[in-house]
Amino acid sequence: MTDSGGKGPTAEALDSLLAFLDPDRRRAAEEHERIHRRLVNLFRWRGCADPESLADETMDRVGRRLGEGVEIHASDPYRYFTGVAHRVFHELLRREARDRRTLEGVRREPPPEAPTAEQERRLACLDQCLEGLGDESKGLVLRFYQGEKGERIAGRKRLAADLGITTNALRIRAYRFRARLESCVRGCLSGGGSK
Amino acid sequence: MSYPRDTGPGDGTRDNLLRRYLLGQLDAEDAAAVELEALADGERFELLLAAEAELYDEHARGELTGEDLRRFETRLASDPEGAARRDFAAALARRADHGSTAAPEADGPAVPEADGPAAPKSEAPAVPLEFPGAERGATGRSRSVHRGLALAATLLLAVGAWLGVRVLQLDQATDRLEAERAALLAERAALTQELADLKGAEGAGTPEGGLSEGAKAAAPPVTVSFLVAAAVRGGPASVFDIGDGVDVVELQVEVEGGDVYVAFGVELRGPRGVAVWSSRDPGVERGPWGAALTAPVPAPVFGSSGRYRLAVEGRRGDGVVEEIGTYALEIRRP
Repeated sequence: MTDSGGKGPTAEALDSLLAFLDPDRRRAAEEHERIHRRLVNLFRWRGCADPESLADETMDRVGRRLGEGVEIHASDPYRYFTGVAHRVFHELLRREARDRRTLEGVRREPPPEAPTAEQERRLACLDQCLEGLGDESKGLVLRFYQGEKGERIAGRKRLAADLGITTNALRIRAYRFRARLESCVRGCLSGGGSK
Repeated sequence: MSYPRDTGPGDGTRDNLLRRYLLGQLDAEDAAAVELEALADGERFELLLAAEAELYDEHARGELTGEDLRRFETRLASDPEGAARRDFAAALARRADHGSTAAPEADGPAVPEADGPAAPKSEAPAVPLEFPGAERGATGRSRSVHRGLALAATLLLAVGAWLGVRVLQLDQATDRLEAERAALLAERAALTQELADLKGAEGAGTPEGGLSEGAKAAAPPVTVSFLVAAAVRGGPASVFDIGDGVDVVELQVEVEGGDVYVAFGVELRGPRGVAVWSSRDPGVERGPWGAALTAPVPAPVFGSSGRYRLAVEGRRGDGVVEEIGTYALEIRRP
């Protein structure tokens, strides 16, 4: 059961992992990327400060195990990935404990709010990016995120009914637009837009 | 898994479960179940991303209080990335409520269904929207069309350049990996030959040892490894297939709080509840969370398909032996 932590993936291990994910190498690479991205978020949601490297370590370990000739139950491979990720996370906790720091302790206090001028600039960027979405998408985003708590929930139910989709489908759709907007606003701010 | 009462601002119990996961309020097994779903199901994963975004919105509107607020600030918004998302959420809430941009009426035109599939998946590499920049303020349909064409051209050029660079990087990485692979395969072949020579020499020196016996001994056992640790408490048994040609089934179990035990024992019970295999010396890896056990079970022990149970017991320092728990396995044989 002991994993040889610290070693990078061998070419054979990577080959084994890709072959396990999909016989087609291109699709396997896409699946590899997809699982890695989700693992990054899972580690982030667990409060880890360096989720990328923990996701790398998880993928490497699974690859090494496969490279060693271990078969993984093919109809439920994700359970194996989450199991390995779980162990990687616990090993992180163990290292943190050894350093006499808890994971919560590593996390810093929230940074202060941005100054007013920056907030105004962010708003201007948001306006520009909203325009880039087009009227219908912009309308959906603004309706979805509008209002205080109770009003917002009721508004979303109405919006989902208007569109003839489920609330979950609406949430995902609104989230996708939001992710694009957020990325656009970052680009605007870093590129000096809306000065 | 126990589903909590719906007290959150989402649409139901499910939303509240995701919120509690993100705020670190679920126990380990429920959290593992949420993570397994998110890893295996793209829609579940996106719902978690959406739930996280909604937490940022609630924070921006001052709707998070008490323990939820503390957990949000320490778990999600404590680094620069989280701070940027927090500031974005504040701007979005402000614009949605008091928009200076021309927001359509609340019951304005519905977004057609076809718009959904056309929207980029949030899991795809992010392609930022271009912001209008110098063309801001231009009015009229032709300006809009030109601006749209310019944006599309810019986007295509950027994507093309990015793809070109990426292909080059991947080619280089592939070459490097192929070279490493060739070197490792050569090394493995040399070691395999060396091992076979040694086994052959050993076999020749024993009365029963022939060349074929030596070659057979050199073949490593075929092992399948099952992680039983992530099984959901109270849920269905983990289903595992054991194919032909498997020699060893390695069962892995994590025992939270197992650090209080100085030794462990495992017992496998067959479909009829009868013990079919046991070990007083499973592999043990210890950590502050407990202990991780490895039980290498010979594959023939799983003689037939059916529901097996792995019982785990621990011996405390004072000699008392306690049953820690059992794990259900649904075994399928060809």
